[in-house]
Amino acid sequence: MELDEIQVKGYVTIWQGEGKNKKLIVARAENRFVDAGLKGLVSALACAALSFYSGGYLYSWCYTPKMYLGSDVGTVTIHEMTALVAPIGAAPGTASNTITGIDRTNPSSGVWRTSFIAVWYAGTVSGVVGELGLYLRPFTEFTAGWSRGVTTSNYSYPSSLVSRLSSANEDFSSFVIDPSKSVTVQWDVEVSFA
Amino acid sequence: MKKIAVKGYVTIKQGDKVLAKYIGNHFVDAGLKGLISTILHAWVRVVGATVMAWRVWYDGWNIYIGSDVVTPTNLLHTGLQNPIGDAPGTAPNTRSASMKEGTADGIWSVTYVATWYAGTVSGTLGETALYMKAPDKATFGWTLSSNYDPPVVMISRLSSADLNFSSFVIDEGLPLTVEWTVQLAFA
Repeated sequence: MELDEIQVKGYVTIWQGEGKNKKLIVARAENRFVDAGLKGLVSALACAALSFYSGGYLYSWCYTPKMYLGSDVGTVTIHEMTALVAPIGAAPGTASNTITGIDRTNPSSGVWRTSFIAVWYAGTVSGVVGELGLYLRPFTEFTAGWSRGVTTSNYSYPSSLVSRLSSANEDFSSFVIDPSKSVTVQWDVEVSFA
Repeated sequence: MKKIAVKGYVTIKQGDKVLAKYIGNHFVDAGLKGLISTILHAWVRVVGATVMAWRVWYDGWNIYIGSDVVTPTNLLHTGLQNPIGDAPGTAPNTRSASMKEGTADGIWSVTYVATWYAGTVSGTLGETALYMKAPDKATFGWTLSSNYDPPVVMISRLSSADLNFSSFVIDEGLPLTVEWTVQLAFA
């Protein structure tokens, strides 16, 4: 284990069906991050304070996380990307019926992980899956020691594409959704030493 | 872009003399945990007509120096081995920070600079460390309705025992400056 570098990585696993009929479609394929995720982490390291006065909410990173599916099979991920190329459903895509998460875990020394798990019920999405995106609400400020005050008005960082899994990158093989079965996607985000 | 690589680089100067030039640091567990904790945060709010604050990472950041020359960094380290001054160490006289956008080269960074005036620290400098307020919550979608002020913890260390730089005796007639750049880039 090398301590000179922290790595942030994402892994995507996809199933169709449930119980004993649950079929593994993609096993821990590596995602590709885009600018919003990287900039959000840098921004966090420069965040000094979020201040509140009488009743305001501030929503960030993990507030209403989203995953979307898309059908594009020809466009590789570039860091400037902000959305799926051809979302399934109206942009940004058809939201999963449920999305849950797993608390921070420490699966091995020097590895910390969380997971986002999205489920689309049978019949809610169809077609070819060639791309997937994880959307979070990363910070956007870029001044050392930034702070944000929230008063009675709520403030929400925008829901932004932070990472994408694309068949065009040959990170997984596109597949056709069986509409008679649910689709489950688990997106693991891991922070570890190199 | 399959990973975001986080690295830290340290430059130490006394006057015009550069004693360590952009040397890679070693991170410890608190940094890893804090990054995941940040990603897991959902919302904060105030209850009633009070004022409250969520103070993290940059708030209270500091750099300390120590004299140890034999103890390599391991991921469970939580402080300097032998700080100069009372633990966690003698605080610098001045601190400043800046950010660099990576639009052109893909490298985004924050640089923290600490300076001790001449005569305020002495002895052998064999280790130095960056301390920040890393969030410590572990629950998916954690929320807060109260002040949040996690402790300042060591997130990375530069050690002569790791052979990252050569220890030296501080020249008390000159100020001492430590520049710590934490950079993030796609890899």
